[in-house]
Amino acid sequence: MSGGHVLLSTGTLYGALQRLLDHGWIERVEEDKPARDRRTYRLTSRGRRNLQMEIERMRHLTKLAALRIARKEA
Amino acid sequence: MLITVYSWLLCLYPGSYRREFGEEMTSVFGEARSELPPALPAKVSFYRREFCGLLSGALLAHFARLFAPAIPFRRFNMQSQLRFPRSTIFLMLVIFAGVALTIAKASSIAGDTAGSVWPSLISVMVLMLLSMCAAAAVVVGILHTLRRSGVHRLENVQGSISSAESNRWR
Repeated sequence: MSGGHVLLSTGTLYGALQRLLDHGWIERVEEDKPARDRRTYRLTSRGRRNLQMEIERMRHLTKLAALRIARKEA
Repeated sequence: MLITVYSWLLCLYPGSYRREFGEEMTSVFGEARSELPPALPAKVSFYRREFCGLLSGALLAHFARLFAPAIPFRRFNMQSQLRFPRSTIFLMLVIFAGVALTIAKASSIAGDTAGSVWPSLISVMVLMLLSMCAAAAVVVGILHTLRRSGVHRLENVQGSISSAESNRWR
């Protein structure tokens, strides 16, 4: 997904999943034939809202960085 | 064989965590391992990352289980307000209790009486606390005077963004 830029270990990934589940930002998808070694997760509405806020925050920061660079170059 | 070692290392996690994610983690580890490139450095880097991640993840899971109500494991976000988490006070008290117990134990081993240690210990602690508070107050005062505190810098950031946006829409 990140083209090899982000390399996560399994331990880190599941630590993050656990926190997201605890916060109610993601939930497990109920499947007809659930496999214990493979589960699917999806964003909850709360998680989607938080993701949107985070995207907005990062957009502001990148905008500010671009502004600073443009000012220095001018 | 490495999958077996990985499964054993999962025992370092709390039982509930292992039951919840254990099989899934082993399966994902096996899948990632099967997709490894044949080059040795890539393999070494993968196993180092996986095993370090597993150990640190186990440590964090135990820590979260023990201190979850006290310590929020959230990402730090910039906020225009002073942040002093209550968990800091708890941790400071734990550290203080640890230091006090160590000194008491050391004095009992040395055969000293507790009465000779505690007054000097308390006075040193109070002095340290006061000097730290004074230093912090001076630093905060200087930062506020120079308008370089986190609150001011965040205000500058937000001001720059809003002015840039208003210029764009003109």
